[in-house]
Amino acid sequence: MIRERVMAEDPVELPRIVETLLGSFPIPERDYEADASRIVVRLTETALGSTADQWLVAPFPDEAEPKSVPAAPPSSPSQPSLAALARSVANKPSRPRATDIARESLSVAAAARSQTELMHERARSSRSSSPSVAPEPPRSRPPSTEPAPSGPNSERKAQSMPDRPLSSFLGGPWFAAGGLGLAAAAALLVWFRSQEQPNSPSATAATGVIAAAASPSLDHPPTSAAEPPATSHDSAQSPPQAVAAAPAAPAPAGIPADRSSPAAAVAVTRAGGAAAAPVGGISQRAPSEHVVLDEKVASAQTKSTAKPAAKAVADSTPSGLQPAAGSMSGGLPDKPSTGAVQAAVGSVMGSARACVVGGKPTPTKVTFGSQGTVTEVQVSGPAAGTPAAACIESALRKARVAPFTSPTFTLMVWVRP
Amino acid sequence: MSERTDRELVEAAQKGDTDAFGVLVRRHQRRVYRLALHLVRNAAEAEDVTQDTFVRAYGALDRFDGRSEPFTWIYRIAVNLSLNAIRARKPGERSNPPDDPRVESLLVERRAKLASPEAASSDRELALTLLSGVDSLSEVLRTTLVLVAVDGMPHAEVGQVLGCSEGTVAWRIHEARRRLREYLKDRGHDQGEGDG
Repeated sequence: MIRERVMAEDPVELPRIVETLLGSFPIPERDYEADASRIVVRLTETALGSTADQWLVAPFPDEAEPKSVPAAPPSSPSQPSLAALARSVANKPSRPRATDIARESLSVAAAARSQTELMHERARSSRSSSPSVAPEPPRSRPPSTEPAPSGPNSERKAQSMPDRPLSSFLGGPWFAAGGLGLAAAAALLVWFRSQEQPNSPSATAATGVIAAAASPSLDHPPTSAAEPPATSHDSAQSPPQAVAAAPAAPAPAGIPADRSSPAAAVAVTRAGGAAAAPVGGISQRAPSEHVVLDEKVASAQTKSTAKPAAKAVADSTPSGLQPAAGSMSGGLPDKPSTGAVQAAVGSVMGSARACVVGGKPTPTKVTFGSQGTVTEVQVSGPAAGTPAAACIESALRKARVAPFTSPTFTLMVWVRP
Repeated sequence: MSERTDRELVEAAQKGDTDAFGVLVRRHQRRVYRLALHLVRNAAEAEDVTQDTFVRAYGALDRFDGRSEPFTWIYRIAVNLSLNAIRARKPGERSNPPDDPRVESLLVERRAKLASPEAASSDRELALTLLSGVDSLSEVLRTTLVLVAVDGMPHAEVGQVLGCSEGTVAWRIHEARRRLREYLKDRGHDQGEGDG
């Protein structure tokens, strides 16, 4: 409506000659018949269905009209958000360690609630009974100065702190909400700390959640998270996790189109002496893929194994990978950055997609050498062993990244028609 | 024998008749080339875009469902290819290319209609300013303006090409004209110049 009004109020008119020029713009003459003949010749080399969908999309669709910001949903005053999160995690049928952590967090939240309720009851009792019944020793104030049950907070606040027992400040739903809030804040704090230090004992006792992969930097989820849990020690204990997680790996979208799930789309392995895990395969590297694909999965078995696992990572990886991702050696990065990999693969993905026109999404493992060139392309899935696989390989081999110090860098991509 | 419609040609081409698609090419290549030329502003690239447009249109015939007219469908491919060609250029090359084929052809045509050298000189200046103003618009506005003002397409068809509503096309044209008017005014080309 605004647009219509503006257009009606200010009908733009250009100088007459300008309108004439615009409407009668000539173009250089060409031999259009020769052009058409060349096109027809090319048609004989073109197969129906060979054109990628990207050329058919609307170039400039309607822009979304600005809408009023919807009102934020009212938050529940007694919202046990952390507990609900813990329950949702606990209900997931996946990993026993995560379930244990979730149950612990539930217990912590329940303890906080019970404490809150206890103090609330104390507040009720202090309001309903005489001051002498209150647990704290009564002060010199007479009973009439007790605040009414429905009295405003200001009345209670007006009373000096030292003269009032603690329970007198504990009134009604305010205290309950405050207590829950404090409990939730404490639990969140512990949880965030556990995100930073998954090996610390407090992490495993944290509420709700899920320790991230131990050592690697979270800045590079598709890559660095592979390292620490991928140890012989850890893998020996967690094959069920690998089995459970591996099917989840192929789900997300391919790299160039879906930046929202790069971690899910990319599984990274280090080829420093260990065979890279195949898609869905179970190997000693499988846990690392599992962890990489889902950052939020607890990587450490228990706190007793977390530190040995991290140590074993440093010992077992020939390249001596350190927890921090993106470390530099001699001016070159340890491995290419996520953005560089995405850009490199994205630049050739269009050609690769053309190979699977009409086909199904194709999982493909791409290995970069330290020079930044693609050294291996392994197509799996339905397209494996077909001409489409050779086409995909040919396309993806053209990807290039900057040189890096690690021997290889491997990632999984999904080539979608 | 009456001339086959675009839809009939497309249907024949979908069944493998490349000659039918050739007819479609000859029928629309001039307009596609003009569109590409105004967008990419380079004759060689416009020729490539035109060829690629019809080749890709042929390759996508299996996906043409008949909801739009074939030539709007072909135009959409041409716009996408033109924009891709522009975006593939290096940043320094995205501005006006040195040899704009539109300028000379325009001036050659108009020079014959103008009596005096002074009028021709003024005309040239206006033409260059106009082209510069059109090129200064955003991709969205410039594309819409070229389709409507240069190619003469109705708003509804332009909406089918660009994937937007007719109202949005009207708004974009309004905005493009407003900016063009300001651009010309800032450079001394006000209302009532010259003849038509």
